[in-house]
Amino acid sequence: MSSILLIPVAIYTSFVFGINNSGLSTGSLLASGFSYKKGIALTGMGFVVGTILEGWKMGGTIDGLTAGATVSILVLTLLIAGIIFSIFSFIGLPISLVNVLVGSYIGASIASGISVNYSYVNLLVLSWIALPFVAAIATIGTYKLTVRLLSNVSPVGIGRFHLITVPMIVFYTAYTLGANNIGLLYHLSLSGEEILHFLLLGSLPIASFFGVMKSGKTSIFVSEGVVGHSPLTIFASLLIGSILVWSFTQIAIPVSLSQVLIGGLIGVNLYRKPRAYNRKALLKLIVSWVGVTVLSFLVALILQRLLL
Amino acid sequence: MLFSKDKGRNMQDLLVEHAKLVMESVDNFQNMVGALRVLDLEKARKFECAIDKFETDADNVHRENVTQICKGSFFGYMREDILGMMEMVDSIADSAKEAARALMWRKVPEQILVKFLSDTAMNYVKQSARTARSLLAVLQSLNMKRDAVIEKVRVVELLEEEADVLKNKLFQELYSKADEYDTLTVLQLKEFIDLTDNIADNAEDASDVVLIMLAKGYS
Repeated sequence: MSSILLIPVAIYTSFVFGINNSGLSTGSLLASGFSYKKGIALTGMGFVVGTILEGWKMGGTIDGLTAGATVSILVLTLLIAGIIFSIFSFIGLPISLVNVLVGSYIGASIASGISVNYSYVNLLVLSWIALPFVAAIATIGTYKLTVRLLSNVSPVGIGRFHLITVPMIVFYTAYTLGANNIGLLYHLSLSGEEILHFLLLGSLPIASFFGVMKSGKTSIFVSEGVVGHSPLTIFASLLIGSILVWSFTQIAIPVSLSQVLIGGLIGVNLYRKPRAYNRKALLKLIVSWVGVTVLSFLVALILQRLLL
Repeated sequence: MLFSKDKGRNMQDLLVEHAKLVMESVDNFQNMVGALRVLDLEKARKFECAIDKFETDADNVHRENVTQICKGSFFGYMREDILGMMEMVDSIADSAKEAARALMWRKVPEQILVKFLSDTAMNYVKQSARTARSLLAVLQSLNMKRDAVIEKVRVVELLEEEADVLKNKLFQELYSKADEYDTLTVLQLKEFIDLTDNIADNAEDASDVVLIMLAKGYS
C-alpha cells in the first residue's frame, strides 16, 4: 500500500475531527452567549497554532505503543477513524479521536503480528478512566475558588471578566486539542518523504479548521444537551480540561478532551444546586466513548486480518 | 473591539439612558396628576404631551439598544434577561402614558376629580413614581459591589409594597364613595388606579431580573 494514500485519508480524518470535536470549544462559547462566528474563528486558530507549535510532541505515543508500523496499518487506522467520525458527526455526538485512533491502531497492529507494548496501553487506558474523575475534582476546586474571588466584583466587572476569559480559554482549549489530538493524527500519518511531513503539519489543522465551520450539531449538543451551564462552570471546566490535555501532551500521552471536559462539567454540576444535567445524553456519551474504542479496535483487527 | 474596557460601561450606559427617559415620563405623569388636582387642565395637557414625547423617545432608544445588545457579546450569557428587563422598563413609560390617558381622555367632573385626587391618591401616585425612580438607582449601581446592588433591589421591592398598600386604600375610598359617582367614572378611575399600579409593578419586575442576572453571573 502506498504511503501517499495516507495524506488524503489523514486530511479527511482531520476535517471530520474538526466537525466533531470543535463543538467542545465552540459549544462552550455559544453557551456563554458569544456568536457562532467568533467560536469558529477562535477554535480554528487554536487548532492551527496548537498543531504547529506543539503537535510534534505526540510522536512518542506511536513509538510507545508498538515497535513499528506498516503503511497498511496506518491507512486502515486513519480510514476507520475517518468513517467513525463521519457517522458520529452526522449524529451530532462528540467522540474521542484519541480513543478511535489508538483502538484501531492496536487492533490493526495485533492483526499484523506486530508486538504491542501492553504496559503503555494500560497506562493510556488508566489515564482515560482516571482523568474524568481528576477533572471533576479539579473543576469543582477551580469553580469554588473563582466564585470566591469574584464575590466582591461588580456585575459589570463580572461581565467584563467573562468577556475576556471565555474566548481566551476557548482558544487555549482548541490549542491543546490541536497539540494533542491533531498532533497524534499527524504522527500517525507520517510515512515516506520528509517534504510531505511539512505538508501534513500545515494541512491537517487547516482541514480541521474547515471542519469547525460545519460543527453546528455537536456545538448545540455540548452547549445545550448535556449539562446545565453557567459562564463560571464553563470557565472552570474548560480551564481544567485544557490544562490536563496540555500537561499530558508534554509527556506524549493522548487524552480525550471530551471525556475530561464532560467529567469536569458533571462534577461541578453535582456540586452546584440545583443539579441540571441530561441523564440520557450523558449515558449516550459514556456508552459512545467506550463503544467507539472497542468498535474501532475490532473493526481494525478484522479488516487487517482480511487484508493480509 | 472584543476586549474593550468600555464595553461594560456602554452596556450600563445603554440601560441607564433608556431608564432616564422612562423616568422623565413618570415624573411628568406625577406632575400631570398634581395639575389635575388643582384643576389646572391646561398644565395637565402639557404634561400629558411631555409624557407622550418621553415615552416615544424611550421607545426609540429601546429599539436601538435592543439592536446593539443583540450584536454584542457583553453579558452574552444573559442577553435574554437584559432584553426582558429593558422591555419591563419600557412598560413603565407605557403604563404612565396609559394611566395619564385614563384620566385625560374623558373629562371627569371637576367635583369628583377633586374628591378622588385626595391625599391618598396623590401619595399613591408619588409612591409609584418613587418605586420607578428607585429602579434607576439599581441600574446605576451595576458597577458597584453585588451587596450594594442587592440592597437597592430591596428598596424597589419595599417601595412597591408600600405602593400596593396605598393602592388598596385608594380602592377602598373609591368604592366607599361609589354611590356619589356615576358608573362610568368609577370604571375610569379604577382603570387609572390599575394602570398606575403597573408603573410600580414593572419596576419591581425589572429589579427582579437584576437579581437573576446576579445569580447567573456569580454562580
